[in-house]
Amino acid sequence: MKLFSYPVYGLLLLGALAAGQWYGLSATSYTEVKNVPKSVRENPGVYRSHYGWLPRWFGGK
Amino acid sequence: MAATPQPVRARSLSCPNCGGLIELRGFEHSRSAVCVQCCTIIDPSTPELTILQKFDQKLRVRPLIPLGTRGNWQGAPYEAIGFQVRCINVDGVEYCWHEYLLFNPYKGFRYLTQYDGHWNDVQTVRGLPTFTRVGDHKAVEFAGLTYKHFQNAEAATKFVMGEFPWAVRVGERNIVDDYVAPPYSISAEMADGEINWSRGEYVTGTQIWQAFKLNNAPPAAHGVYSNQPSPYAGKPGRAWRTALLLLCVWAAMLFFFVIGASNREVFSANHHFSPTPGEQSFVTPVFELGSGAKNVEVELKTDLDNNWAYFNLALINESTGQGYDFGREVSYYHGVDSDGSWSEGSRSDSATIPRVPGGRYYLRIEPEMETPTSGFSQAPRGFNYTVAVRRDVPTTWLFWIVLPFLIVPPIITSIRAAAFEGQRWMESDYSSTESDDSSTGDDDDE
Repeated sequence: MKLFSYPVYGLLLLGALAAGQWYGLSATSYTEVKNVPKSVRENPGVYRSHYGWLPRWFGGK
Repeated sequence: MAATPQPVRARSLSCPNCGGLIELRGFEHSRSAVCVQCCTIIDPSTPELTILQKFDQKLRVRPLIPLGTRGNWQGAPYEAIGFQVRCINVDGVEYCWHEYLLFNPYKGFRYLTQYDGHWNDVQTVRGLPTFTRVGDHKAVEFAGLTYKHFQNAEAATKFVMGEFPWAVRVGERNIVDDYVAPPYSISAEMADGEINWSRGEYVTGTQIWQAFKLNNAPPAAHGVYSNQPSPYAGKPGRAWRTALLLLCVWAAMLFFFVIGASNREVFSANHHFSPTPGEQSFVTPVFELGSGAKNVEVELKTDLDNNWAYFNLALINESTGQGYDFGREVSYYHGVDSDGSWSEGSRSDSATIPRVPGGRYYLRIEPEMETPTSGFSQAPRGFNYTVAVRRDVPTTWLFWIVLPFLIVPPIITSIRAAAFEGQRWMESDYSSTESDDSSTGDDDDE
């Protein structure tokens, strides 16, 4: 029984590539945050980045 | 009404040496027959049954296909009537194979040869092959096929049993030249100034066992035989053709995604950072990101010199409060040492956030760099940098990750095919481990 079909493997790989490109796989590590306070515009120090190994939300100064 | 063919019966003789029974199945075709009791070879065509040779019974070998076994082979009934063991000596190592003589009164003779579980169906060639060359190999052409020379050796008959259409002798020697075009082979046997050509086709032991209805299982095949068909035959070519097609699709996709990306700069600003105490974060003016969930690239270009800086960044949607937090470290060091000039790192870096919905955004930027802590360290002077934001940039990193995975299968197939052929030719006169002997087979009878 043939367990490996190169054309099928190749097409699956290209399909995964197309899906990855389309849905925007990124090499950048980032953290998505909801409800950043609007006061950040006036006082940037009110916000601390969530990005990193540990949660760093300090709730402003 | 057609008459039903009667089964052919063997003729019996008494051995002139021991009186044992010798069955003749090849009728008037037999020029020698072997008494299984005393290992005496007689000439059954002479009325007095001339003794041709007596040989050592200690050499006795049990054939895997018992003599007298009948089977339907290649569309005709055949009976195994003769068996011989022949050997060649290569660098002091003796390699022996078995030959079974099959007979059909209407079809004639054919042979089954067996070496290390590998079988060949061999028939005498009607016609003369023509000599040619393939690269550094001498070769022969026969019936539209080119056979590359494989091996030249002197074969000696070590044991015989049954009957043969020639006056067989134990110790008989022939020069054998083998040529291969898997699954076929062609052999020239030279003896007494006469050359006999025969053509073999690789068959499996299972085919023979089924044809002759033999008990047990055929011996397992070991290694790669000279004319054994490669399980990879044609596969590398097919795999590379498929690879070419897949690479075309890959390139078309790359083109589509690169050309299709608008790559529009939506914001750019120059800044200066000094590592002074106090809050260092600031926000940029708001910029518009076009509709659709496209990526956003934030690029940082600095004039850092033997220093580093870290940027805490947040891309924030002004109206929804949705944010993307990320960080980038930029460091660039260079110098000169005993090995010459060196450098590491880069003065610029970028980060790409995927699928950012359209809207009005701004960046919160919080740069950091080493601050002076003691009188020994030189106080950093700060640095200039540019922040640029681009919408819908082409990203190709995933393409480059996929590319090796795409071409690995044909590479593996090609390596396996080459390894199989390498194993095949390792046993030939053209093996890379073979030294001057390889020329021996090249110099004969051309």
